[in-house]
Amino acid sequence: MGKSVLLIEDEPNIIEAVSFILSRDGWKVDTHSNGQTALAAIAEKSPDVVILDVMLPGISGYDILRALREAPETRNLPVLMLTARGQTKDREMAEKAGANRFMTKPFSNAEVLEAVRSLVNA
Amino acid sequence: MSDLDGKAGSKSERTPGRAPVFLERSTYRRRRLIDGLRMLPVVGALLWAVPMLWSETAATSTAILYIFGIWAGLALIAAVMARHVDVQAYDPDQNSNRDVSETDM
Amino acid sequence: MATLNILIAVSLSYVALLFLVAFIAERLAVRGQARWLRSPLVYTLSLSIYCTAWTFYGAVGYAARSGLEYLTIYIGPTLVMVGWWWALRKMVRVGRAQRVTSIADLISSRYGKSTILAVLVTLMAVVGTTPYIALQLQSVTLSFAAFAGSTEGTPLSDSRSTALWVAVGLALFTVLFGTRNLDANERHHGVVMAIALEAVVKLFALLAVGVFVVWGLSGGIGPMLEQIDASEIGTWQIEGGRWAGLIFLSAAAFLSLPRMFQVLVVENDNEDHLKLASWAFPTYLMLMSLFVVPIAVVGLNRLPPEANPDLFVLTVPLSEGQTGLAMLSFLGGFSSATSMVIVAAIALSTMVSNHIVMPIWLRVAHGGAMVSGDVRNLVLLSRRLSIAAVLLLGYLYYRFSGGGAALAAIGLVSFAGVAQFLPAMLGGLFWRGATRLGALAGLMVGFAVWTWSMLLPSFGPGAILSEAVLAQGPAGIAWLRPQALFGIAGLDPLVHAILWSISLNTLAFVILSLLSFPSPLERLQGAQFVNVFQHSASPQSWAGGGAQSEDLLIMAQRILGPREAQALFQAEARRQGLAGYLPEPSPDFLNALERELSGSVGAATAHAMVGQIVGGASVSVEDLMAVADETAQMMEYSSQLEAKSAELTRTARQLREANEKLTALSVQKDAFLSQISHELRTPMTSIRSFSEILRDTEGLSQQDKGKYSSIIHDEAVRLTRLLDDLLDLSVLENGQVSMNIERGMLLGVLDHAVAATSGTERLTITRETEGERIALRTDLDRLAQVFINLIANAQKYCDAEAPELRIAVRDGAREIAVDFIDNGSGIPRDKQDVVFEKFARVSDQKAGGAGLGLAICREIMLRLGGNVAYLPGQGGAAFRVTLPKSAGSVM
Repeated sequence: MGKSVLLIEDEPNIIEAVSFILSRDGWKVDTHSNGQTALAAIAEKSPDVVILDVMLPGISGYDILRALREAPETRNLPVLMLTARGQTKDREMAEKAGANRFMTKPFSNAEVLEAVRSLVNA
Repeated sequence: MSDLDGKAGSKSERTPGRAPVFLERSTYRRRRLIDGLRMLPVVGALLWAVPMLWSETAATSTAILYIFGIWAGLALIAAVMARHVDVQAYDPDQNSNRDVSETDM
Repeated sequence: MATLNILIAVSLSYVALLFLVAFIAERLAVRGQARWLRSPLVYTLSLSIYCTAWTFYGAVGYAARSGLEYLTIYIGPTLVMVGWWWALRKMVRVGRAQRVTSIADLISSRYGKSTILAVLVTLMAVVGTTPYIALQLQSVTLSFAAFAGSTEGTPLSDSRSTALWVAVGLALFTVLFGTRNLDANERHHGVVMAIALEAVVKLFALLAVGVFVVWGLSGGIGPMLEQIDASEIGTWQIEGGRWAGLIFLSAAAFLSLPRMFQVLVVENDNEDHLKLASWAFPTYLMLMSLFVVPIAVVGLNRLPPEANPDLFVLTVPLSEGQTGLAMLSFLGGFSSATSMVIVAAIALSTMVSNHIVMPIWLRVAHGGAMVSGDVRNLVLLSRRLSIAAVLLLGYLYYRFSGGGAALAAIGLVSFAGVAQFLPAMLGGLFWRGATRLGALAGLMVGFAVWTWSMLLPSFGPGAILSEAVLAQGPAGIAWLRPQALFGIAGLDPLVHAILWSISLNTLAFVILSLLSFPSPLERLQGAQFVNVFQHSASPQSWAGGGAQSEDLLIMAQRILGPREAQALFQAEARRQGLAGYLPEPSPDFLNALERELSGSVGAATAHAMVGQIVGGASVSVEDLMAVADETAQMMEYSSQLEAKSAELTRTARQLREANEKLTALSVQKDAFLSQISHELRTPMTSIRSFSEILRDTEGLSQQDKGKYSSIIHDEAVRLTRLLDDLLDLSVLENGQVSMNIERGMLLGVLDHAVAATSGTERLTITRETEGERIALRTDLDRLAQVFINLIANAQKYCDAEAPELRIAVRDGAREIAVDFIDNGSGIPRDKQDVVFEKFARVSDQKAGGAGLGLAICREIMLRLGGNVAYLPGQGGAAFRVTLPKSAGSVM
């Protein structure tokens, strides 16, 4: 396996939880909590999957996603979006921005695992 | 206006010169006729008021002759005046209307 | 008996002749063939209805009793006619210009189309005329009886049925020829022709009797005059006052009698006719009165003393065996009576119908709405019923007054009654300052005085007014004695009544006119009437115009639509016996068309439009006024529409604003909900995730278990706090919370707040406890909550190396200020505005707050009547809490 995941999220407890789950499944987990520098972090780590929170301090997850889709090297990068806002509108916005998966907090650990796995296999 | 006409020639001066004078006279006559018409009932009333001064010894025959005489006279004068007065043509005449002054009292 | 039969036969033949003449005249008029029907001569003769049976028979009786006084009755009208340039010409011109239909109509239109004036004049006219009609019926009955009596004794009971039959016959004739059509100008060709014929008959009859008396019985003029001087009326015995008073009265009555107004003004076809009438009618009157004295003197000399002088005209020839002459005389009297009754009935019925019946009917039945087709028939019906009613009234008056001598006096009483119209009428014609109120007051005062001083006493002492009232006044009030008003006794009762009624009438009219202010319509009508010669060329009736049927059709098509218009014209053409679409523009048709059009464009506009095409008829100011009214109504309507549309626009804008507000609210709500959602889901995510890890993961170290459990615990606490805050804020915002006002010291509150937030190792708090000894009267717990929040914020967010919080208290004049100033970097300028908003978070740190704290603080402070605000430029973050002094009054 040895696939890598980059988790962009600002809530420390969630970072801890997701890191724990994915690590135990054998993923290489990097985390990044600053939205402003997220793109640079992605470029640097070049992960197989990105888990992106929508509500980041200073920047919206959608903006990051749109930037990713515009850049040729990250156009096909699988992205799982997480949001704490559970409205349909948010899901639509995520799809429009080019998210591969969309997940509403709180999620079950199994869901996250399944999602990340399917993104890599696809 | 007559000056201008005068330069044009003596004949043309004459015709417009005379016509107004004629008209003037006729409106004047007409106005005096109206004055007469207005006076007529007043005169009649005054004459018919005279019997009020009579004493009780005045004979009825005299009274009849007097009253009916006025009557006939009034009718006659009214007839003569009515023949010459023109109800329709008179009114639109601005001057005479002002003269008549039947406006605010 | 034979003579009586012949008399009946002759009478019936004469009546038949009148019907025939009227019928032919109507037919000719409808065909528009006979202009001579409307000659000045016919007009002049029609004025002769002034000479009723009262004058035909009564003048001789009058002369037999009072000598030449009867002449006053003819002298008055003579002066009016001779002075036609003064009043009559103006009346006729106004009448035609304003399309006046009666004297009530004239007075009411002059004073701003006042309904109440029209009704008043109508009622007065009915009261004044009914006895007069009764008088005519009586005279016919008496003359009939006299005729019968000379041949054999006639049972008296017959007289009543005679009167009834005469009344019925007259009603029939009047209905037939008086309401054949609704001419725009109320002209009645048939009736006028018939009364012109009657005028000739009565003059001829009286002259014939006169000639017979003078030359046949008295031997010529000279002997006649001698005989007169020798008789009991041989000397001048007339009181000056009565002479002048009666001349004035008859002149006034001549102008204001409804029936005279009808023939003088309404039936006038051409102002030029006045020229002939001005001298020919005085001549007619002169001839009518010429032989009165001779007949009276001969009657007095030759007939027994008990003979009724009122019937000398009839009885003198009868007593001389001149049956033929007597019969002619009877016809003369009959003519006088019938022509008066017919015209009076027409005039009164027009007034009653136009001013009383129709307004009431329209109000009751249709709520004022005009239904074009029905009205015509309705008006005719109402006219006919009014005619019948007027005659019935006259007949009943005759029946119940007993037909006695009391009736004879009614002639002058009636004259004086209608003479009350004179001030309002002439005032209206010559004085622009005359107002409706003045006219109303004058008429009522005049009528009241007339009723009191003349009408009631005329029934004789004891009839209506007791002798005591006549002698001492009502309830002994001497100055109200009917025949000696204001204590001035000794006047002739007649002169007395005329003097007081007319002068008080005029006085009331003038004074109230001067005091009151006319309405705009009154002023306009006043100008129209007084300055009628400036304003109007003489208008003509529709009949006179050379109307262009084709133009009318074109116009009608535009307004009514082609199909309807063509149908209307075709129907009329067929009715007139013509082929095609173009009928003759008869007055009837024009009026019908006007009515038809008025349904679409309004009456006044329709009249003006037809008037323009027909030509001749100038559009009167009344029309223009009405047009203006209609336009005004339209403008009012359109301005109403405009106002409505403006209102709609306004409402739409309000709706839009409301919608925007709602949208904004909805956006806010969405933002709020999604914030809440976020704030709730975030801790829950951690809780769920770690609890799953704890559950599902085997072989977790004890340390990890402890760590994860405490994360779950912390997040649960965070969640709880968030929910608490939310509930708190919601309660505060909805104003549902009640403040628990207590007394306390600021020092205590601050102590409590600091103690509650202690256990924080980092923050140093500096206070000046001396200045904190300020008495408060407020919700101490809530205030402490605010302080705790602010201190906690400093603990959380102060980013200084050694965080410090300084609490400074300032006791101002009106308010107490408590400042919380820390030594951190403070809040950036662009965030200062939003820190008090819900979920506003300034720093990027996840300090566990949901961002509701300051929002709650602000809500609390607003509830307490104070405020909490950010103080910029204090070095660090600085908040100032202000409390009103009233809440913090010193104990």
